[in-house]
Amino acid sequence: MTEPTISRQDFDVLLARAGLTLDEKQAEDLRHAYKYVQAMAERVRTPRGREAEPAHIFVFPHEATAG
Amino acid sequence: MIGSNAFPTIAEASRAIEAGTLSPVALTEFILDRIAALDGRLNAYLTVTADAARAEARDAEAEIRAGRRRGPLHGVPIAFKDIFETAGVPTTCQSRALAGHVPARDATSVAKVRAAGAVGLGKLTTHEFAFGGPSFDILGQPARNPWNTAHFTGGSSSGTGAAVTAGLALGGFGSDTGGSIRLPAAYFGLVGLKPTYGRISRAGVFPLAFSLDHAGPMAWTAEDCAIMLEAMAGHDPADPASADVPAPPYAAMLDRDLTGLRIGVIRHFWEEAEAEPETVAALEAALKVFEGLGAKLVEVRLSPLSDWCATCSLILLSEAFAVHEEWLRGSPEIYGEFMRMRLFLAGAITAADYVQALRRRRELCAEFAAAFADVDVMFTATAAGPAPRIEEMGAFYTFARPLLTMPFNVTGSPALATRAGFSSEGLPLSLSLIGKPFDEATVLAAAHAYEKATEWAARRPSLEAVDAAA
Amino acid sequence: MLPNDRPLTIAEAADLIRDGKLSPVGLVEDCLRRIDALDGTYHAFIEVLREPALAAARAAEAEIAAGRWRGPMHGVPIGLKDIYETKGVRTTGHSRVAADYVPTEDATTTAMLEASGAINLGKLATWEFAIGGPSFDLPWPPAGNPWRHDHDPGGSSSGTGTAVATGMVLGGMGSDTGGSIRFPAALCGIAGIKPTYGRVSRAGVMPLSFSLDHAGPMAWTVEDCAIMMQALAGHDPRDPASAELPVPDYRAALTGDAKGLRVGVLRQFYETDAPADADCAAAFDAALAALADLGATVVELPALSPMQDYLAAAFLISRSEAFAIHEETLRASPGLYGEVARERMLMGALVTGADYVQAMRRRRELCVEFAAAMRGVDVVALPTLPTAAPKLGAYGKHFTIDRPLYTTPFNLTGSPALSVCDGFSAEGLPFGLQIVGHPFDEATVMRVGDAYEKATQWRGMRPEPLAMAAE
Repeated sequence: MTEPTISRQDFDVLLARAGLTLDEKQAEDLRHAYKYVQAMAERVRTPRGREAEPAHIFVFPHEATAG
Repeated sequence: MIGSNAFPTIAEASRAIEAGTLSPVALTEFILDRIAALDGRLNAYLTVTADAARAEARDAEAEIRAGRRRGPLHGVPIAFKDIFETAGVPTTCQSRALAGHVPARDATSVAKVRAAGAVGLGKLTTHEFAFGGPSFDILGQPARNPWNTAHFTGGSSSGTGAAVTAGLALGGFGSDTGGSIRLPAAYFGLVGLKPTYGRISRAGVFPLAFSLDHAGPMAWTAEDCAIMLEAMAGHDPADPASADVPAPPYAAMLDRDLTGLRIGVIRHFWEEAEAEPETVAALEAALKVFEGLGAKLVEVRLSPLSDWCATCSLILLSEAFAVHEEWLRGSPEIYGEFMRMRLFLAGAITAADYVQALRRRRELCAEFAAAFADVDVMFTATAAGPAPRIEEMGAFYTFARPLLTMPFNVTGSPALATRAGFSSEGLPLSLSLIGKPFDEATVLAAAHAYEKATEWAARRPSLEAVDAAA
Repeated sequence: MLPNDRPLTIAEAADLIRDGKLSPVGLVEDCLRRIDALDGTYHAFIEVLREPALAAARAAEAEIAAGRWRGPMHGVPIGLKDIYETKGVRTTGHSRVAADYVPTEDATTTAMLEASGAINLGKLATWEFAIGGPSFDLPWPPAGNPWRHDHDPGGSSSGTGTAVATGMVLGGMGSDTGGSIRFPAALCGIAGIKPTYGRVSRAGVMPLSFSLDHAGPMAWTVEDCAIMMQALAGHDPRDPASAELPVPDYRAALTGDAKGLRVGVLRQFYETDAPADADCAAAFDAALAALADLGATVVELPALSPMQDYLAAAFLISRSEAFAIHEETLRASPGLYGEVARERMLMGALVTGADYVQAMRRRRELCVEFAAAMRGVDVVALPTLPTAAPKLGAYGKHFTIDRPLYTTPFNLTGSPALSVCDGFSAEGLPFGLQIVGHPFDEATVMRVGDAYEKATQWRGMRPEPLAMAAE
């Protein structure tokens, strides 16, 4: 298993922010998997204009436009 | 004379131009003179395009003389909030980050009013990127409130509000993500309309939060907003959220008998916002006026105001952070303190927070749609009180107390703010009318009827006081 | 005692039932016998609805005898992945968390299938909440592969894949958020279609990721999928993403040829970005030749962004949405979940709001890019997966990151995408051919798949479950 890309201290902050209380094994497994999230978060940030829109802008629910 | 309030509304100017009794060139010169005389104190403008305005006015005048009048905006001088792109004219969002940025093209809405013959006076001050303000540490100074320069203007379309109030433009463009058209409309005693999400193209408007951003008009009267909306509205494939819904002739639909109109009163919103007694009294008096006009009042109860604001704020912050993160990480000092601090806050929001906010948004929209079953238009306060003193506005004021405007960014409903009287200090108070999706016409008609039944629109700030304050 | 005959397809059964030559009761009894004989080995079912199915079969028989044949699904035995809500019948999501959950309403699709006359034989195994699997720490074991029961059937609609391939049901429902219909369809050697996002209602299907979830059918043939799609497609106000578009006659679109169609090959994904095994790629190349023989013009698709970009956006979106759905339970009692589901969903807790928004912006760009690349072709073809089925248990917690499926990009784009069997490995395990269409053009996708099936010998090859089970 490769080394985690985030320190335990930083990772604990993320867990606390997410409101998660995990046992030691769960937390360490997840910390090792965090590299995947990190790599993908980098990947979705290809250069683009600031005006580039997300896939889902706001769509009126059916109930709001019916009638 | 310059300090006087003798300037027309869009509708008045338009009728006089049509009748041949007012020259667009003279009107434009008159407004340019007012800008030169007053804007040093009001900071409404970041860029005045005087030469272009004169040229456009001359062209308009020639065309109208030749019998080719394009419509009610032809020859009418207006101005644009500086987040709307203007071809060849700096568009900075009042931020050092975009200092010197000169777009090659007009925003779709700007191009549309130009095509309607409007004369562009220039670019108006804003909170930094329509978000960070009132700030004294960014490009230029914040706009000041001519009713009392010690008081806040509301944001972020503050320059638009100041310009329209002081007669430095007959109408202007604002944008509204959490209340940025309606709050300044309230604090300046104007009419400001955030149309339905999708009604006016956002293409070429610098984004703050994609799913909450709306462009819209600000002017002295509901009629003026109707005239502007008519020119600005329409489907635009360049905006993925743009709705392919035909825009009716709003100005022609203004004179509507309110008899039987069912007005839903969202009283608990202003109670939760702890509205000040003078505001509450003004709202209750306005409801009496509507009743006098034949409307029926229905009490409406929705989820707590704070739920709507939490939903709006989480979405707004997450989307704004995504737009700005490169600068935030690379050169945060480029922003003013308020912008920077607000966006930093966004860095702590998780994807789950954002997804939950989107889910809550759907529930709230369904709830609001259901509340419209027995109601034609909703009524609530625009703000809890008149403009506070400018030094009271801290970095996080938009999150510290619930904003009465945010619910209708969440729902995307058309929402209009109009003056509803004045505080004992002489500062404007405001009410909001909210319609069903794409039913701006009813909102405008109700506001127009209220305006005609009251005398508030006749009251203008004393610009001599602004002079004296200088 | 297993019926001797090979299982019928829906199309075959429908004709016989319509003509009064096959009794729905007899057909259901055949399926129940297969379940009895095989499911102890294959674990396709979480719950078999024996008595209700027999009662429904008797009712169908009476109705048809009375001249009220509803259509080709009438009297046809099917199964539902156990994330489809069934009124009064436990819907577990294959999880301890929902082990006792009994819905009070049917999913829209459950009700539509019932209205078409289909007979629900029961609730089928899945990965835990369609994300966590294969898992060995849940109340029910994972399903086994119909061709070799100790191999992986793919997921998450594993039970559906296995039950269809072994003839325990004639068709079944799957759901697909990153490939969960096409992945098991490929590894089980059957047909499965993920319709366009918005085409088939998601209402009452346990959500995994709102903006990527698709409901769809799995069956032995594409023609059977087309029959099921006819019963399933259409607008549903209960599903906010449901599209209000007319539904074509899917079966009528199956011309048996591919004349005049342009097939774009997405070589970049399976040759450059994430190379497929040689035998898998060879099967696909042979399939392309067969499509050309059927009259299709095969062209190369223009270059796209790396497949990993599609996967990254889909991963961030799906994990974030999954965590948002499950966060309360994950915070209160993470131990209720199996390890795989828990860890995959917890990844979503580590994503920031800005990451998610960026993924959505990337998604728009990739949708635009893919639409542009599809201009000038009718369908896109590529393998469904890079490999045949490994041994059950060989897939690790994050295997889709290490060895990506070629299915997930089309969840991101929302395109209709079908997997059909296009051959077998030396070990006798199936490979999948994936056919992707323009939005809402399931008809052309199924036309190509059906023509391919009818022109090749693969549909004549059934697993021999009895022999396998006896091993």
